Amino acid sequence: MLRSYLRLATRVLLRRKFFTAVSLFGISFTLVVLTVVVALLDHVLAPLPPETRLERTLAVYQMRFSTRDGRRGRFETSFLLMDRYMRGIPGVERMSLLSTQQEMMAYANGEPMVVTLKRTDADYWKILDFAFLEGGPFTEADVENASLVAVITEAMRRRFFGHAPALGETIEVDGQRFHVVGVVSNVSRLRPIPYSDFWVPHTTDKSGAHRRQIAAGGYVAAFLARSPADLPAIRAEFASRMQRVPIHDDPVAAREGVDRLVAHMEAPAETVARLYAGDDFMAVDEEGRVRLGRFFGALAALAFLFMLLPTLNLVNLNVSRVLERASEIGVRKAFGATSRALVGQFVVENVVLTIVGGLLGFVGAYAVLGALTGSEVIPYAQFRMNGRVFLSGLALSVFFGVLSGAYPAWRMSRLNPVDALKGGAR
Amino acid sequence: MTRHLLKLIWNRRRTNALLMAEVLLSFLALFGIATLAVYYTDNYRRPLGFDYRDVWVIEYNPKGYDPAFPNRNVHIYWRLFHALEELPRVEAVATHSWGVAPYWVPGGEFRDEVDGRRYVADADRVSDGYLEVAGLELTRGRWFSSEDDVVPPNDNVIVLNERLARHLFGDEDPLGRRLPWPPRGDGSRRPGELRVVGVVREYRPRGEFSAPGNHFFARHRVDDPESNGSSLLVRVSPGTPAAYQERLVARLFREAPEWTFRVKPLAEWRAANHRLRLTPLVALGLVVGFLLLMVVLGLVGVLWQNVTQRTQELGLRRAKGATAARIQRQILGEVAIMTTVALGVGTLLVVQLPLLDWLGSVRAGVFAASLVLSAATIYVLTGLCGLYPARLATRIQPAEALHHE
Amino acid sequence: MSGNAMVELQGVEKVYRTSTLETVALTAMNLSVGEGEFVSIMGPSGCGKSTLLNLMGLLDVPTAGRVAVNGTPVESYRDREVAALRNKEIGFVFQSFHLIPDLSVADNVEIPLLYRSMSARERRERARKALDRVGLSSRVHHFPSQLSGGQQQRVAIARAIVGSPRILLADEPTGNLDSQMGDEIMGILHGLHADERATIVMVTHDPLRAGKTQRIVRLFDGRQVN
Repeated sequence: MLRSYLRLATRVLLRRKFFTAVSLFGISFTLVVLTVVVALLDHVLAPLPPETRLERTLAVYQMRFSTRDGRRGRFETSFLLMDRYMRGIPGVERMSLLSTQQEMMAYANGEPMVVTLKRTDADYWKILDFAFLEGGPFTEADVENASLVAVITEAMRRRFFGHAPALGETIEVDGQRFHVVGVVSNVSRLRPIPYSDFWVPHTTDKSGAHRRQIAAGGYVAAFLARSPADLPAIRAEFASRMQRVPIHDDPVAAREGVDRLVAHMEAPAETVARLYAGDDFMAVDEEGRVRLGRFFGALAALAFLFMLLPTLNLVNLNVSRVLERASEIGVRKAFGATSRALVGQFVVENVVLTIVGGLLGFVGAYAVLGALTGSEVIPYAQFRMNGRVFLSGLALSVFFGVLSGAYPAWRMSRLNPVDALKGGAR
Repeated sequence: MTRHLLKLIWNRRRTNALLMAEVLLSFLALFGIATLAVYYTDNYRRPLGFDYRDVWVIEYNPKGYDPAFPNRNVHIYWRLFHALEELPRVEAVATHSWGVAPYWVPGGEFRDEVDGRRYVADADRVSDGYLEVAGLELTRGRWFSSEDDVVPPNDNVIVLNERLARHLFGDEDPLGRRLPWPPRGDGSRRPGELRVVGVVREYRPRGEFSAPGNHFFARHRVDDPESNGSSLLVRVSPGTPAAYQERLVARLFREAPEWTFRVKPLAEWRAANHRLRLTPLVALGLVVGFLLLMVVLGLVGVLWQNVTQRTQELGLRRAKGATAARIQRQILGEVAIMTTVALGVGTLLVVQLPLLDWLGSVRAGVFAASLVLSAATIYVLTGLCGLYPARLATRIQPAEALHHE
Repeated sequence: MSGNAMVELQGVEKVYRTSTLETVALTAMNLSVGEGEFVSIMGPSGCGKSTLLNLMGLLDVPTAGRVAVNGTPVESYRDREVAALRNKEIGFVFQSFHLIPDLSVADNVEIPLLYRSMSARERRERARKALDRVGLSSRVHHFPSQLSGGQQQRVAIARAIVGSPRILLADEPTGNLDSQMGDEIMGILHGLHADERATIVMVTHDPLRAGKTQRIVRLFDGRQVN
């Protein structure tokens, strides 16, 4: 039975080539967009080297304060506060402090360049899993001695040294001369914690203010838990330690009248939600906590709305397709076809169409993702279709096919055979 | 014929409603992008007022605030200023305040009222060298100079652009006229006055894609002990290679080794500004593309239903030639009416913009042009969509038509 | 209900109602067709003969009255039950053939068998036999568009008999054919009646053709007249 349905489906679709083409185009276009979005989300959210331990990572990016006279504000995490009060939380395997991205000037063979620089410690390299093409990371000793050493990406190596190895060479950034001790593969700009062109020990910072003043922000604290089960306890301990931080001891805080300081640990997904839908779209509440449910809810709603329009249009197209064969429906019913059999037949046809459209959509998405990667609109990002993306795309197209085929099929199966034979009444 | 068509459309209002909604949405999106595109093109053609070539912007980040020496940064700033002046290949140096540089989106505008006339203007505080650095064209009076050093501390001298001069003073001579300081954010005013000493032809720091506006410059005295500029701008001799930046920065580091410097040619600021302005165009373009595709999908589906149902009519009549042409006209007529209704609603909505005075800096000509452009595009698209199914109707084989009897 | 009535209608009425109009297509129909009878239904156009045939073929639901097929009254017109009856007991032949253009002749004839549990081979075998019966075994793989009107109607008849239904209902089977092809079709129908004792009910407006059948039921304005 299925085989005869399939044969009939192919023949019907080929007979009306124009309309089949239009339907296919609509389906594949929608699926291209959806697949590309899924791939982008995957790129941003999924564990990707060097972030291989995402499921047990937490980070603190921002601190919010309020003063006695009602002023509120926020600043990037304080190095000093984290270093002094947040070490040794039970359940934390490692803790690292890294600066936010700083744009610095460097000169490669005289050509000026703006490089992204991060200042960090030795634990950074143990939380993340970088692939070293040359040399290795800097050590605790380097950090303690404030050695002017740097780890650079392969893109930087190419810019400064062409195809020659970089180990041991010197690069001057913002007036400081660093020795290259390691070269790593490029990191996508869309991953906040590992992204950078240049890493140096934070002790090489020219002013050192971050180690003296609590109010000097500009850092991010990253925590690696022993296991995902430890995360809730770590969050709780962090919150309670935050409450006990003696803010009043700090001269700047005292001068400004700060009486409350709040910070939250974010899981990687929460960071993404905050970055893309933060205050503008209310994914973050006043306390700075990220409302992940809202973010994904909003995404799902957008995706649904996006799929709604093409679905509705395809429903109409499908109704026409089915209406055209009204007499066939009448005949089949006259000879004993049940509504279920007819719906099944039309759904098969529709699923065939959708799967073909889906495959075209995959080809299209593959091309689009390749073009996005190649155009380097997001530097160093590699957009790929992996197994996860493929399966999600497949699920979406089946869902889509059933959705746009079910209603027309159902409507036609309810037709009175007499009316159907007359050519399909309204 | 029209009444018959209207009845047909009303009978199938559910499917037609979806279609008309899509046409409406596409029209609105198309109108948005057309307006933006026409607006940008219109603005781009106008003179910029300054020359961005061979100008480098130096941003700095001083390290460490030391309460013992509150004005140490200012002191160092002016040392940097003079160091730059002495460098070879540097033709002019200027400070820039109240904003980092042209093409940098300014924080806010000044709003005030003078002699009953309200004005809105951008403003920058620059030093005497800015005329040469930015390549401004003076039309009346003079630029800032050392003779303005004797201005009392609360007052300042200003130079307007022609548009502001005309707006404030009409055909009267603006030179020598005085204005109060515009109010600050909290409404308070600085004491003192601003005296007009010159007028430049034009100055559009927001970039080529923004609508021309009002602007005035206030003077920043070199070696002012109280304040430093937000950045430093230099004009370098034409043909200076980018590699020279390294030498320039090295000289700056000699004065302030602990500071961080960033040098970026104004041309790069311009490129970033353009990218920022053009991104919404790309995004809108994608949305428009999607919506138009939906319209095509929907139209084709509905019209196909039409043709299928009309083939029965055809069979009954049996006079293939005449009926086919009639059906073709009927289909195109239906399409035209539906499109017109949707566009009518769309135009009603869109026309609220100028009525409610929400057009902002978009001129009436731009508005009208994009309205016509969008409507025409939609008509052409729907017309083309209607052609194929209509042609199908004329090619129905009689045998097939007979089947549906 | 009488003994060996193949189709029986009792007090059947069919009224079409729209929001503005009420049309009585049939009223007070009492009709019984015995096993092996060849009955014609005649009357002017619009008198309800097609409606009567549709009701007998369970293609439509009567507004009042009862229909019984092969002794079993049709209690409910629920999809599953009606479909089973249509599939097993009834074969329909339409005036405009209603062959599916995208399917070959053999595939068209197989249609009723698709809705029974049967292997593909058995289906093909029975279709071939049915086509044999109507003299079209040489055109098994052709498509309807490649056949003449008469040949298409023969395929339709093959389709109607392939499931060995007890009743054959034919709605103006020769209406779209010229007289020679029409004679061929009538020949096949009479042949089926004679050889297999098929019960045939045929709607026609041709008195000559009607005259060759066993009984004529005349309708006028939705009523049976004599």
